Amino acid sequence: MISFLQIDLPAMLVGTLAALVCALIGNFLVLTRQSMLGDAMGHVVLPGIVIAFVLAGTTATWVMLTGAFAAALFSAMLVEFFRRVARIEASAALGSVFTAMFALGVLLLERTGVARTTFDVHHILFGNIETAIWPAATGVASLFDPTALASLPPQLGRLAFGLAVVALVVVLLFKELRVISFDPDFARTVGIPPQIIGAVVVTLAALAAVVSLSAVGAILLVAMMVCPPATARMLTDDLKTQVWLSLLFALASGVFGYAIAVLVPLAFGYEISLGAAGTIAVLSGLFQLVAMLFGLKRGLPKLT
Amino acid sequence: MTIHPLSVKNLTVRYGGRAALDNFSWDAPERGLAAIVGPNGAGKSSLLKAVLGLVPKAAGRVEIFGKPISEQRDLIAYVPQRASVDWDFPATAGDVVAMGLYRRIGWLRPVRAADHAAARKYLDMVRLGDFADRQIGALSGGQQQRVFLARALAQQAKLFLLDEPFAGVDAVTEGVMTGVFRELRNAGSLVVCVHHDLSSVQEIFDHVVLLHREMIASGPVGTTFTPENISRTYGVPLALNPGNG
Repeated sequence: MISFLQIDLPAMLVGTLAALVCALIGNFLVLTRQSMLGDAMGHVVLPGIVIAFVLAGTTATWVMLTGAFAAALFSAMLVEFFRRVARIEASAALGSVFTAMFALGVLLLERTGVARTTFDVHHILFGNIETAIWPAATGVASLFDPTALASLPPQLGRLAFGLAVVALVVVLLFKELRVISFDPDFARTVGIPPQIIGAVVVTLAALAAVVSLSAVGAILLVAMMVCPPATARMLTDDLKTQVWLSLLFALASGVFGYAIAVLVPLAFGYEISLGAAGTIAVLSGLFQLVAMLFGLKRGLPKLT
Repeated sequence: MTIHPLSVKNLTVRYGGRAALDNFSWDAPERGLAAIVGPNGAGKSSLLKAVLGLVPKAAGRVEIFGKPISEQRDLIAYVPQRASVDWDFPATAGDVVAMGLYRRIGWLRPVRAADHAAARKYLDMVRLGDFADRQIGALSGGQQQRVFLARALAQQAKLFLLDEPFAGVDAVTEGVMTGVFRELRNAGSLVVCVHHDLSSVQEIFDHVVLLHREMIASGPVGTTFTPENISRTYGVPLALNPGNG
């Protein structure tokens, strides 16, 4: 029980919260046909995080977020510049900016030496959930002990903050997000500017990327953002139901993905070690595949 | 001096260097049904979009009831071309019609049951009352067009701008839409449609604008929709526009 609290619970929470925050904003990336933007966000924020860390000397949440947002904003401007001034096609501009920014981030990691002390390139790429531990836990009572709770992995706080912000904005702007996704021209004529709501979506995607990056990694991020909403879309024609279902699939991927990563080596020997970020992403993909194969569309009633 | 629902002065729209619409001026009638006709690429959709501020104006001025559109959004309803949206979007007919109420619901507020009930009322007006919970992708093209019209009705506007509402619709839909347009006219509204089918102009509309990048003619259908004006709009070979390179 104690080892579950110390090792499995925090890690499972990190994996699940990351899956939830990515899936939630992923719904609107998929609907506005900007799925690759989620991928791009996971990559462009890296140099921002590294520079912010080098300048401020801390991995405090607000420092990481500031650096990441600066990098995301700079990249967005660069993409627009490539498109308008250099007249490069949008996906090419996005592709070149996000890979170049990521490469810059990797170089900075190596050159500033933080790769050896604070960030692990392997973790940035492929994620790392297992090191989220809670050594202060001594039993179930620790769940209600403020001192013990204060020593929960800082990642958890960041993820909870990110999920709360994304959830709040999605709830408040739900109808605005719906109309700009479906009919942006109409939205503009009723005074709901799609560019501004679109910028909010990009900002939330950047936030989701920043808080989940250390858990799921830059490469798997896009799977977390796209698979649960795409799976949910197969099962319903109602947007609200789709969002709830995508969260359900994210939750299931997080919990069962982590369980698989832990239980498979237990059952079959420790030479088969599985990264939980990987199993969570694979599970997300499997859910989608099954949903597609069975074509369960319109099988669920509308939630109101 | 009358205040026109729509007044366009010297409007020019350019895409790249090419003028899609050149020095176009039109004072729309106070009420009624107006068709904007002209060949493909004549700038009909560009005119609507520039009026609505969806594409930038290279030159000119647009007034809605005497004021810029940013102050008059409550008075206009826009129906884009049906093909401009993805009908596979996860929404029901009722959801789409409720979008016409979003402005009155206001920012940050959710769509409530009362709004859905109101949406159903507008669906009834286009004879789709029983389709409120139907996924929009499962509707026929004509029914989708009527959902768009119901959304515009929900806006309770005075000026309706529709882009090709009759394109590819069935006879039932054509009848329903024509009936709704006449009711709007009787209620004192102005309905402006970009229209493709020359054969139905006289039957449906009472005003016409003949457009081929510039204004060819405008006025009551009876006196303006003449063979001479039509051939000037369609028959003349596309004029090259050396000034715009």
